[in-house]
Amino acid sequence: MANNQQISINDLSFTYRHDSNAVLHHISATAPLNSIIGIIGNHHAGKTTLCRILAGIIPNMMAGDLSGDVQLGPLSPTQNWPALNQQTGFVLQDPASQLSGLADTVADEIAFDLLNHGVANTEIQHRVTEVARQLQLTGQLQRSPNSLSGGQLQRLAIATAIVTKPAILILDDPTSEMDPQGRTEFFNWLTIIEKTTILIVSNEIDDLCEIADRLWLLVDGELVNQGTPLEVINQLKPDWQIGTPQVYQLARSMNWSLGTDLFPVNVNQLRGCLHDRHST
Amino acid sequence: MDIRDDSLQKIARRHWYNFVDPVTKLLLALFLTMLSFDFTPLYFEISLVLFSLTLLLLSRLSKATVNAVSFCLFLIVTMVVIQGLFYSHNVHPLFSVMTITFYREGFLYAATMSARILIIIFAIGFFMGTTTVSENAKYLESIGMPYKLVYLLMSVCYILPQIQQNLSKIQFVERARGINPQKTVMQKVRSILPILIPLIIKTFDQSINRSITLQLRGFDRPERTLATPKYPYFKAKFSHYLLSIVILLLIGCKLWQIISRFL
Repeated sequence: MANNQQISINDLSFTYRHDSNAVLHHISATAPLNSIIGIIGNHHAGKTTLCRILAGIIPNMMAGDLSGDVQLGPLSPTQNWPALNQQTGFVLQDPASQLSGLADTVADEIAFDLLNHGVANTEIQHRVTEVARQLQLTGQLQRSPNSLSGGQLQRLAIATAIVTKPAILILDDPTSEMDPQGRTEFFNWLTIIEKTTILIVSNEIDDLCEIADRLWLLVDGELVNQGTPLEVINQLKPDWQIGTPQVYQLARSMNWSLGTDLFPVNVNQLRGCLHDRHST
Repeated sequence: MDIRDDSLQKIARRHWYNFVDPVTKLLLALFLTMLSFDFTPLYFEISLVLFSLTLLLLSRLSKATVNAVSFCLFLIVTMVVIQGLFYSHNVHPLFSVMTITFYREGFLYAATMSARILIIIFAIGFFMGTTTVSENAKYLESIGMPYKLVYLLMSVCYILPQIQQNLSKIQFVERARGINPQKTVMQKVRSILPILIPLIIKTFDQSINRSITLQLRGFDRPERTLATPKYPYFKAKFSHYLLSIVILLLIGCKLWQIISRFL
């Protein structure tokens, strides 16, 4: 029986139509709702496809051979897509494609989602202002979306996804065009979002290890490992060719382990490790 | 303070043409075109050209319109030369350059055709330069057009600018890498050919992504509320009815002109 408090993926496989090779092979994973799940892996590992399935784009808008079962809490992308879509925010890899093309200003672009949700005009004003403030787009509200830089465009794409206060947020490489400061601010901001399940694909392993509750590691369409960032990073195999966080590299080179042959993967763990070493 | 209304005021200060709704602008373009086809005297055609040019100059002259006009001027010059020399009804010489004679009939015929082309370009340029995709979408939806049809229309409107945008990006990169200097017309044409198919595929791919995004963003939700049209338009319905009736009369008139030739 499905657990209403967790995301569960059971024996999921997928092959795109007109393609003979499966993109995802027998993936099974779980994670609690309202947590941050980082999805990592190299190119063509199937990360975007997994996001598309979780958001219901596959099979509702893209066809292919899908088998297995996916549940996001009580909802399934295949069986309850309209209800799930209402509660889901999705950020595409290409932020320009995220824009409706039907808005002259950033404010109108953000408001587009709210109009579609039937939100009242006064509430729209409030939410657009609030989301723009959160994503540092206040100064751009009256500009045309076409005039934004890559990083600003990504922030706008994220703003359009979160303005409806979704319970599930799926972010497919949302920081690829952001500058380092913008990226750090974005990851910090993710940690303050409450009551939202966040699935984020990213190659920023340092930032992911700082914020994620769990990591899912995909290699060539297979889920080869899942667990906390500490567990996953400490169990990496060299042939997976996954980068490690700088904190982990430093701790490993200095042999600062957490005591159980595990090396810290984020600053807090490193701080705790050093504290323990000094106190002993 | 309404940030969205405020944004509109800052981005586009309201001009006279903002009070004319998009459908009226389109009907006006059709009306001027039909007039030019129904009434052929050259003076009348020239006055229509001047009228549509005035409309354009009093509004916003976009770069795309200037490009379209310059391209058409090239076509017009070609047409005038060819018709002036070889039009089948050429009888009266207009002037001669060395041994080459230009004829009055061919010149007048080419001038009439050119006037029609210019009227269409100026009128459509007025529409394109003064309305945005967003304004069109909002207005069409507000007058009852189904949102799916609106989206389809807007997607079609988007394809050419998107292709142009992708093309200029690729060409910029090519120039930056010194792959193609693109100094002459031939070099420019040659540089487009190899990238034509990937360009079209990329544009369609972007269109598919946009369509997916719109569905994810709830464009087809039943609870969707209509966006308020961008500007308060002046007597929109009256203009639609009036122009539609006049256009129908002009079409009828033109059809009668054609049919009466066979009677």
